[in-house]
Amino acid sequence: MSGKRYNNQGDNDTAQQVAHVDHDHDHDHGHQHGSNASLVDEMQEMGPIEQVGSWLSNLFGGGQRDEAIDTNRQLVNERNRQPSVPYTISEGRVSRNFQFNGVRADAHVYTIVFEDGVELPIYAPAAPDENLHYHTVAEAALAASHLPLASRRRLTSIMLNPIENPQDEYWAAEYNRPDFHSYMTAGGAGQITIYPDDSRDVPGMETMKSSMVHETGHVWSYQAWGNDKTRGGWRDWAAAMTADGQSLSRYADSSIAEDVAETVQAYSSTQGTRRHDEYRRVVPNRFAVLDRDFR
Amino acid sequence: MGGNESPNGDIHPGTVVTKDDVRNLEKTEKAEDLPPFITWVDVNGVYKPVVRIEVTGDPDRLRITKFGEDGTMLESTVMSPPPQ
Repeated sequence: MSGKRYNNQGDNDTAQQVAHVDHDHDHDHGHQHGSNASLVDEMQEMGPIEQVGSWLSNLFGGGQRDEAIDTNRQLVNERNRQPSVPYTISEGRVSRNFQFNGVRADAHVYTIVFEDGVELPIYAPAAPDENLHYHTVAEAALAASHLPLASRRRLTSIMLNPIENPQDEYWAAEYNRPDFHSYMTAGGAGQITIYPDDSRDVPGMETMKSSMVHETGHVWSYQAWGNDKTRGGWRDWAAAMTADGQSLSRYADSSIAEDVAETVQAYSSTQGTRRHDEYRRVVPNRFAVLDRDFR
Repeated sequence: MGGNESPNGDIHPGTVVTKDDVRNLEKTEKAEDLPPFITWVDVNGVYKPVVRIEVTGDPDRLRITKFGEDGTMLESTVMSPPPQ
């Protein structure tokens, strides 16, 4: 397959470049705005000093310090410390009259091939709306490369929708929230849809990565444990919740499904670090269930 | 077109139950009174009827999860985080 290889492990040149994209988008929202520039184009614009600085920033966590785990916070919002799995992105091809969410339009289709064997198509609008802010194909690929394998292997596609979610207007009226705007949809069969925004820039790269971990956590839990939340893995989880006596966030308290997704985010984002052990001390029974099932 | 009919002409089972944990309410609505993009989900080109919706999260981070006839999770949508 033709395409470019992205590698955060061993290939210093591309590692720095990927690290740059990762870091850069966390801070200055350098997102696609009515265009569909590729990661290759973005990388070619970097200078060597930026690359080294970003690489060091990535290596040492951008100077951020870990705060003590506060189970009363709104969201886990844990920084994703998982390395990017090397991947290639194929040359784009055009799919005419592709069915996006709410509209048919020509799409550019790319295939990401991860070194762990997962292949994932990304669909992007061939003619993005100049008035909308979009995540890029490069950002979507990079976010997917940071997912734990247990989640990534459940995905079937990523779609950068050309238009905002057609449901937004309905939910905005229902909740009297004129600013209601869908960010991401996880389909039960493994499709991820990411929506553009008409009024403000899309969230930064770190938010995108953590959102994708959270959303795919939902996909994983329903696919692994089924839909009856009184049986199997769900029942084990409920017992673990009771045994732990506390959750990781107030958002987790809203439902058992959110509790799973929030815990998956903390579990998978910190694996191999001391932070993981800190979380395990807070919710040991939930982590034991994930040790058994999250694969 | 009401939500009782999919874009492909399929007929909805009839009602959608919404369990709203954010506002702590539960309601049952006729599919024909809702828009089709609420009552149907496109799953790989096949429209599946939505019979249950769960609203979770909090007012600043609502999550809408839709379920099909056999309890299958069809899709889960989260709203954008507030600007930082």
